[in-house]
Amino acid sequence: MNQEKLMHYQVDPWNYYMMRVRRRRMEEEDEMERVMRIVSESAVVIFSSSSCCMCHAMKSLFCGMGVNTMVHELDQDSKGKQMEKTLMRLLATNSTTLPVVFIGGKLVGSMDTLLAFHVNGSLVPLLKQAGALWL
Amino acid sequence: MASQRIGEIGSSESEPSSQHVPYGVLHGITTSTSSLMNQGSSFDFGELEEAIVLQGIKIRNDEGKASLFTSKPAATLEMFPSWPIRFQQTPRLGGSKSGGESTDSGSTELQFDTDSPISVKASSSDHQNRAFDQIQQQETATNDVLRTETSQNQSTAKSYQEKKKGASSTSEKTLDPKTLRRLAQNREAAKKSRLRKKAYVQQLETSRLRLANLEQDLQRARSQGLFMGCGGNTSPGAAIFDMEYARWVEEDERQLVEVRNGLQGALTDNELRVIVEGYLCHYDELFQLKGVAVHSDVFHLINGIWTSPAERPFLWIGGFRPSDLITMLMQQLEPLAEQQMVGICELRHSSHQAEDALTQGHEQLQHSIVHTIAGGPVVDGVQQMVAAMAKISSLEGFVRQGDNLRQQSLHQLCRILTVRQAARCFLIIGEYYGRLRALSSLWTSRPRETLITDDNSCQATTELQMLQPSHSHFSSF
Repeated sequence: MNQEKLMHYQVDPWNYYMMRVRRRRMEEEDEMERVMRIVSESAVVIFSSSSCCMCHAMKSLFCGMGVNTMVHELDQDSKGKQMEKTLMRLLATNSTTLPVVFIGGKLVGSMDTLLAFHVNGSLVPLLKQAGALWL
Repeated sequence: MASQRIGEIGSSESEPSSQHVPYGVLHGITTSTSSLMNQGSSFDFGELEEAIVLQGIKIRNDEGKASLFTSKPAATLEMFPSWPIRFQQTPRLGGSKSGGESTDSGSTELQFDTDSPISVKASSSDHQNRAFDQIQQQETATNDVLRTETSQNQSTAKSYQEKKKGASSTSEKTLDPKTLRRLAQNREAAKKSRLRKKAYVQQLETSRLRLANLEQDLQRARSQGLFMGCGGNTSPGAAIFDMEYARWVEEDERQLVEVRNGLQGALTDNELRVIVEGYLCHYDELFQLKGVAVHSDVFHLINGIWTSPAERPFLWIGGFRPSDLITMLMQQLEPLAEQQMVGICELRHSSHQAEDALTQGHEQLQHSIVHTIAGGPVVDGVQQMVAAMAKISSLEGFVRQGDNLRQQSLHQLCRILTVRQAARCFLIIGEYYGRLRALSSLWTSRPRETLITDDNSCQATTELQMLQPSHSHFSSF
């Protein structure tokens, strides 16, 4: 397989490059689609890591509010790394950002944003709208 | 000045030279208000004018005539010869001059008698132009003008020359409008530059004071730094943060005074809002400071050595616990509207939930760090250390989130409350912490049975460290 690639590269480098770019774009789109598919499956979706303590804090927060969340442990997912990269791209940041939460299929952000929303009183209405909270 | 002159009138009546009398009267009146000049008084100055003019001409005529159109070495000499010719103009020069520059004239008018050309060199061309301008105004306004001391005329040689030239081309009373405008502009420019100079000097003074204060701070911090360097392993990041925090506390006290004055004084809501927002910015600065410090030394922030001893028991992840603060505020801000009460209760509730979540995460982190340091059955030194370092960076994340929660709570509080209530809030918080710091000072300097010497000479180095920063807080007690 690598030999083939090499020959292809030697014969027509520009075309090869364009092909690679296109493929990467497609992969990224696939990843994004995958993420979107996952987040639409549940009202509240948390992308986390089992060893990350801040993720634990976020889970506790929702738990304490009585909200059921779907947790996606990326360190236990085969494509976890790529998903993490996709999330980083979504949040427009270069540093690892777990946990990341989606409510009602829409991106909310990491712990920072979540706490800000909660304190200024906009989290509860958001949850109610997504059907994650009833009162 | 005025009374002095008027007194002079009475005393000098017997004097041979009659010029003192009109001199004093004129000056006395002009110093009190320049508007008198324009209003026209019942006093008949015509005769006075004549008297002065005649005297002037008599004394100076011989000397001055030759230098009628030359630029002056002695301004005095030039003025007088033209008196008979430009009779109405020169006195106005003097008159306006006295109105504007009473101090100048005051010093020189008595020397009217003497021959010495006491040109008031102090006055710059600005004065001349100003006087000139005033002359023209008065001329156009009214004919009833005071003819005053010629000594004032001494200083206006140049403008006088111009005036002569101008007057010679046209009639006595009309002047070039351009000249008028130019002189007015000169006057304005002079005024502006004087104001600017004053402002600059004031600025210099305040910066000088500030520099002195900063140097003092630096000295103090250096000595503290030395202390703490001996005391324990203080990183440079920690030392810097301590210094910055001390400065923040001083600024806090100043802002507190401002808020207190704002509440007691009859300030409008808008003005109070400015103060409240200033205080919010002040707190934002603190969180920014901590954000930098958390990266350089998270342990320093967590162990709370930078706070006063009495604050330390209540520390939660490197700072105050928002729900506790809100509870305290609710008790103090008693008369609250229904809506505000609901809002504050909700705020307290949500921040409580957030605190619980962060606490749980923090505890798990601590367990994990302990586990990592203790090591498992397979102890790999380097790997262990790397893992532990990673956990410490997670700890940084927790302190950041704690500060984030604190900052958001404060902002939300200000959104819920009215401006006056928010101001009272800040006042309450500031006073609360001030008392805590004062309590710490008292506690560290309390008399102990083992020590024979008086209170303030505690020997323990740690107490001295604490005493130094909190020494200033006695004043708030």
